[in-house]
Amino acid sequence: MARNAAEPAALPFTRERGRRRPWLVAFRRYRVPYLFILPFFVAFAVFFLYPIGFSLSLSLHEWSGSGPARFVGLGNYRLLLRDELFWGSMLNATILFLIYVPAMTFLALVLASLLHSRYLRLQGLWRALIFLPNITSMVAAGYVFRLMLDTDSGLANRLLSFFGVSPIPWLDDVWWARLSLGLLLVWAWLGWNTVIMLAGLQTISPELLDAARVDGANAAQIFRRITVPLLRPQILFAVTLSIIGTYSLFTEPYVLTRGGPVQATTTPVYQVFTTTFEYAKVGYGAAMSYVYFAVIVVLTLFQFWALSRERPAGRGR
Amino acid sequence: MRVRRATLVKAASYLALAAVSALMLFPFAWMLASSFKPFTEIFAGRSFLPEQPTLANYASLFQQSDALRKVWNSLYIAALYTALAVFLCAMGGYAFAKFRFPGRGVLFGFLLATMAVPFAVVMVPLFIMMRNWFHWIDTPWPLIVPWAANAFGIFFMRQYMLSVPDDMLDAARVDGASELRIFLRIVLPVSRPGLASLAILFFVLKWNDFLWPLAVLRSEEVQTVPVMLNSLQGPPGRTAFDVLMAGSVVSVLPMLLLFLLLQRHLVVGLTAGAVRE
Amino acid sequence: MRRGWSAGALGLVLALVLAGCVGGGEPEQVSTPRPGAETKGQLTVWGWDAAIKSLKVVDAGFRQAYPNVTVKYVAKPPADTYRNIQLALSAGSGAPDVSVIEDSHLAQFVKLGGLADVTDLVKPHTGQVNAYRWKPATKDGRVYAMPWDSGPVAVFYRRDVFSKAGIDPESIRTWDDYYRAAKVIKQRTGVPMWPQPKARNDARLLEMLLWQQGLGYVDAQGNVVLDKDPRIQRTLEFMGRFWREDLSLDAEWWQDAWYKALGGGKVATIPEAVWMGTFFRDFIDPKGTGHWGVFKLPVWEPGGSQASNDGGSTLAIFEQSKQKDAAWAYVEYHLTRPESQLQIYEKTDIFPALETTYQAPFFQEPSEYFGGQKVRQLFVDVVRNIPEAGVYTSEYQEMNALLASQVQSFALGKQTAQQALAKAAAAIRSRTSRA
Repeated sequence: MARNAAEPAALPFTRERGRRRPWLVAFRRYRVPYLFILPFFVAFAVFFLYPIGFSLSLSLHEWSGSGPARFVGLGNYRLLLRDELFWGSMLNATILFLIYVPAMTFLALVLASLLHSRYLRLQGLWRALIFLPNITSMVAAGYVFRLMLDTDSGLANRLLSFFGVSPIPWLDDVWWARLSLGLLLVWAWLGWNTVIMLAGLQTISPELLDAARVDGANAAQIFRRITVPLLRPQILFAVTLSIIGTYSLFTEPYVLTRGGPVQATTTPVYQVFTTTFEYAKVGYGAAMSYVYFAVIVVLTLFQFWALSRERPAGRGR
Repeated sequence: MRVRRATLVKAASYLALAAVSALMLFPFAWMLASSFKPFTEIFAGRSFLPEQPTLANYASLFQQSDALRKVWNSLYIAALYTALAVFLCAMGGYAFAKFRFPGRGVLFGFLLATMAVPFAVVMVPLFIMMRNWFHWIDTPWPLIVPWAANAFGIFFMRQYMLSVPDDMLDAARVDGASELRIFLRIVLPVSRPGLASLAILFFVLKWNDFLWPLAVLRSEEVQTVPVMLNSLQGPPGRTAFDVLMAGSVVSVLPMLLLFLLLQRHLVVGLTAGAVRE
Repeated sequence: MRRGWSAGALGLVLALVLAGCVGGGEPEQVSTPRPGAETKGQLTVWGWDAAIKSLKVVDAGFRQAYPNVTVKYVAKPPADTYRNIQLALSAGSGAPDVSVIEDSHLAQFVKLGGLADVTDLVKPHTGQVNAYRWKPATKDGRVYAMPWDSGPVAVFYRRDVFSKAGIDPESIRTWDDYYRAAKVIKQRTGVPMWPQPKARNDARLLEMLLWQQGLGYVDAQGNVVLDKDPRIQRTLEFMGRFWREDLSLDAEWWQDAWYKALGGGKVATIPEAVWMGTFFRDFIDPKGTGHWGVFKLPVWEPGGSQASNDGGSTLAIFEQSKQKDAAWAYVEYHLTRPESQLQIYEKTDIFPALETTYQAPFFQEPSEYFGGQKVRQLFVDVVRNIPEAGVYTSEYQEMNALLASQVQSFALGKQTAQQALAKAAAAIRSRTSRA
């Protein structure tokens, strides 16, 4: 079509044959969904993406939070490689994870199975009670546990003394302190994990279980051979979240043990916090958080990859 | 024989559940009992119930620490956040669930990926931004704005809204309703259970938030309950466990009430929104 | 490429910092205001309960002298106060006019910047204050705080435990004597000699013992000496004997079991600063008149020092304050006048760093709580002899945390003293970039 020189130049928003701008057209046509998801992406860009970049920049400097910052390149990371305290905290998180997560996940599975039974009455009540600890502030829970586990006058040791057991240094010994922290975490998160398993159980078709029972399998066998394998996605999901959660712990070790004794219960985030806010070493703290970030990303990606591979047969809908 | 074994198994199940529930409840009960004990009794540990019940801890809590104000702070921040967040996440979830638009897959994948970003990485720069750019230290905004539209909430609502019947929406469109209207008048009301459970989750999380409020809420007047708990003073260096127990009860009680009232929604909602690949 | 990145990053950071910084520039010239109505202001003073209580003792007189100055106190536990100061200094806003700051944290804030330079204002008083107090408050020859109270250290002992064991405190001259007495006391009364927890040790006793020998984390040049000076290892090993031979009470400080033991005479001695005596009287053992006595620190070698320090606090004015005149009036009135310091001491037992007060007859009076002993004079003798030591450095918090962790491990028997000190020194060197 011939164009007259007198015609006004095409405005970008008008749809003109031969002059389409696909992305603007698309935006116009799909403006509703784009607008609806915009708040998330804007907020993410401003409050997360930018800070991630900023954090990287910070980690390359030495800065006390005010005054000039000194560029040190990879100096902070080099120091970090040799920082026993930081890697100790990573190790602590790993040890802690091994202490309580397998036990908690197993307990969650068992509890979920119990709750899933058809004949169980007051299901709502049990579920609510088991989930209750999750709504507590961890600060409050931490202090309560600290009182209960006090070596000299705590309830735990008093109860034990009734049975003639000598007092246990719940919070004063390296391994007992880790165990105590694990106990607190199990108490707090068992309900949440149980609910996840329960959700998974509800997707297993009852016919499958009935068929197994007809074939003569008892409850334990059904549990081991059918339930657990079918729940692999849920287990994986819960475990991965637990890993991430354990590395991100701050409140519980802060309140229960202040990271001790002998720094046995300090965690990576705890280290970042004290380094930044108490020792005023912002650059170093940023470097720490970046290393920790890398670990978390790897773990999360692993979870997504592993989950996307799981497609077990026999799942009812 | 079969029947007897079944009953045995049943009884064992109930017993196990009761035992676990008791263990879950026990710290709460102990917290409550201790909050009425004077300091010396808490450590004497002679009896579970207070020998000399006293309201002194609560008095001290509300007088010295101005606990009522902190409770109010926690309340309005949590409520404000929940309202905003639920709305925005519903919007986002609805968009991902019910619209086909270019880049949807990629954008949703990106959204999922953002859940991998741990808070500690952004904490310090975010703090500096709050301080230097927005001047939001000692205000509730740092607690609300960055997470108002969050990945978990959008993911959760999307899962839920996938089950909203399309024909309802199409019918409304045919009738000429604007998309916003459809969202507000149809989608939201239909999704109420999902919204309710998300609201509970958000409210509880915000109420119990500790690390970030500890960093950004400096002055007494604006602090929330967990931060207050942390800085209760006693004689030098001495953790004021008596007042702390009273404070803990105060921090837990509203959540407890909320939970007992709405727990039905929560468990249902969680199971609906949980991972089902 | 890296160059460009660094310049851009640095520029970005600087821009943010500059954007956030308020004030700066030349500090105002402040002079001591004359009492009267001309000095106006509404001051905000930060501190913790006990400190503020003491300051308030003098407030009536202060109000009379400066009727147009009002004071608002904000009391928070020390940890929170310090965190808030940290934030205010690095944010460039939100600081109070005046705050109580202990020596242990002062150097960090002085280094951070943001405290007002009061060198000229305190000049008339430099010779009147315990000499060793100026070090943490000074940087590059300029002074940034006014010392308030000092923490001279001595040994508090339970008279009844000692007499039951047949030990005369006069006979304890050296730390070896002390150790031998510990064994005798344990044998005859079953009571441990001092309270030093293992897993929850905070390393402060170790710091006190090192300070007594003029030692600390660093030497005069600022280099870490924990693993270099053999006396430090000897000190830690000395402490180790008490743990190994069960001569130490394993209770965390400031927790209930510790309070009970001290109040109930279940610990024979506690080497601590003068303010511990105040705590005994006020809340640890308020009905324990006559229970406790005091003797000076045993020496490490014949002729060695009997003086050490633990604690001590100051008042500092903030650069951000818009009422520095009134702020200095407050500090000057409360801390530099012997009458004020004496009043605070008499009412709340906070030991003044201002040596001009020591002539007051109050110091000569016997102390009823300590069984009529002239305890105050004893502490005056001690405070005059406190050596300079590299304990309260500008990274004290971090150094203490790193050392405490190793001491805990040593106390639990997991490593030798040498290993503990080597590890602590290495960690401190790397984290504080010192030699």
